[in-house]
Amino acid sequence: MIYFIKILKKEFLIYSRKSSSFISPVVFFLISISLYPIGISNDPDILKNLAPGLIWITVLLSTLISFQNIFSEDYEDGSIELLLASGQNLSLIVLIKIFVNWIFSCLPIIILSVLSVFLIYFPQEGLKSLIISLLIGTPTICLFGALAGALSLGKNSITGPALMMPLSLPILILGTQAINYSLNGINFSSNILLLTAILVFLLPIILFASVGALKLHFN
Amino acid sequence: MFQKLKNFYHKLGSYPWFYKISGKVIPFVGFFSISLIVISSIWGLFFSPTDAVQGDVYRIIYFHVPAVSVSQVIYYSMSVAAAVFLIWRMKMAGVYIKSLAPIGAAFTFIGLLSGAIWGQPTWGTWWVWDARLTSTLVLFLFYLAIIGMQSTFASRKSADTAVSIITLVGVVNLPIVKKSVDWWNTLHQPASISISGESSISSEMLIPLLLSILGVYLFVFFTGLLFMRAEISSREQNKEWFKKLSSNN
Amino acid sequence: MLKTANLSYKFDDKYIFSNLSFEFANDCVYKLVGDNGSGKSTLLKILSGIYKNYEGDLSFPDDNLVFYSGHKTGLKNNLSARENIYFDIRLPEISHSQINSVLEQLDLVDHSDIQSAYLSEGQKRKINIASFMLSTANLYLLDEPFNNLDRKTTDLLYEIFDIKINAGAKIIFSSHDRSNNDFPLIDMNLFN
Repeated sequence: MIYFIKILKKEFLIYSRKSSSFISPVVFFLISISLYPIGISNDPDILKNLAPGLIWITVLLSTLISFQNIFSEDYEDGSIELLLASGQNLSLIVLIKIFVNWIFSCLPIIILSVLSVFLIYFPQEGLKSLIISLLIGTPTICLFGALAGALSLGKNSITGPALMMPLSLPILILGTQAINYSLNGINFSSNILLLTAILVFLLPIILFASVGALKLHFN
Repeated sequence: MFQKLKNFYHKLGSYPWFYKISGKVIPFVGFFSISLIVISSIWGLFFSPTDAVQGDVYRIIYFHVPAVSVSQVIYYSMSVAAAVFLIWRMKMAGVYIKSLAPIGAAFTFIGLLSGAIWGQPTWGTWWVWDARLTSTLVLFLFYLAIIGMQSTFASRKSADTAVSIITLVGVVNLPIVKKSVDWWNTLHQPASISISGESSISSEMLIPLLLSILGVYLFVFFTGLLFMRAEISSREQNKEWFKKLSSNN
Repeated sequence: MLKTANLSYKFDDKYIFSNLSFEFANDCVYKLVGDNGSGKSTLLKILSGIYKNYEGDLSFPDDNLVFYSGHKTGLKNNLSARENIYFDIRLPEISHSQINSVLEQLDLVDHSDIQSAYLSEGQKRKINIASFMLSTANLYLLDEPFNNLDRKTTDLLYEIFDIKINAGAKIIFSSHDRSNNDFPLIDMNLFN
């Protein structure tokens, strides 16, 4: 147990030192959100309709950037070899890595997405559904990113992006739909439940697959 | 019967046997496929009757339908190969997936392109985000992912394993994408245009279409064999049987 | 006892080495030599559990505790030397006072709070040696530990070898240098 707490602390320390890890997604998010009114239209009615999709897509793209590299540094500096040699439960270690990466690269954007109320006239009454759907939907997307990262392991490959789009498409649909439902006064809990079910169902499978993919590089 | 099948399976897994047989088959398949494609194209483009509703535009069907259907069939065959590779570790299955993926990608691309060219004059749009088109796009992305995956592993075996897993992920993911887009369209904003609905086709149009489908399938068989031979020769170039074979020629 | 029987390793269809049968006695240092590509690193990675796709048999003693140090240092660029040692996953229970004493022995105290990105290759090696000194494992697998070391640290490393051996551990390390025959050699060229 000490072992895993130590890994958790180490990951936190590494990410907090690496300011780019959490600043660049935030900057990316803010730039895109503030460019939409200029690029599309500054008409509040138009933006209001587009807002749920715009926010979700922006979050999705910014996680896409950060998650592909989740294992690449560990691969370059040899940490993954040491992890494999340690004989410890790799799934748990991968879970810790994904969790810390999510805290640093997704959570700040989710909190900042509140700003979209001011920037792209997102209706206030939809905020609850926006935050909840992002909180439950983004971990699943991070899982996909971790798998893509474990498969391509830092090497530049089209595989990551090509896999991410089809895999995260259902999540995107469920997420934006939850927001649209709540804006139209329809109960959106079924979508949230479905997103939760997908997360719970995929979590063990993808952890297992990511560990397998990492091991394939040492064969 | 079962024993025969088993023997055939083992033979299929052997590189020298495959290399020998495919070398004999290739010229015939190549000749038939290309002549069929030429014949069906000329027939379809010049001699089959003009469609009453669509006019001459419909003739792109002779490229579109074979391309789309073969691109799906290639993917399903690849996923069977992926399962064979993962369960029985048959190396030939890895060769098959690696060789067929670029062919499948090419035909998916032809299908998407010809569909867009057909859609513009007929339905007034190049592209619709309906389930069928979206899942074809996703199919194309999975082909790209499989092609991209080949170069990320140092070991051939690891690459084949990873590629097989991605292929199977795709087979599971494709219907999910199709269903979810369908669902999204019906619940959210009913599609104003839907590119579907089979119209009955007259036999004068059907025969060249069937010929072109047959021609394209044979062409895929032909190029598949060529690519697989190339892949085998790059994997086995240092093997005894291969050196002996190439010194004989 | 650590024992290999007909151990072979295949990369795709090519054997890196084959039929390696060997018994590693306790309290002993073994030196792996061999040409480039003869499988020195590969053997160490198999013994450490990184590579699992070997053929043949491999048996470990019951109380086996491995310490592996490879070509890549495993150091995090934005952690200091001290933090890198403290968070080294091979040293789960290490105290700061232990780390301090080792850093002093290695003359690393002055550099111990600088981020590792700014250290030289030799200094990074030294951090790995610090982890090696602190480890309480009983099987040490070191891939070319003498690379990039100055004379003083080299001597120190030999001393640590003695200490570890006297404590009942065994060490297997790889080297390019055949000249210094102070340890039993395992020549990987013989198994190609």
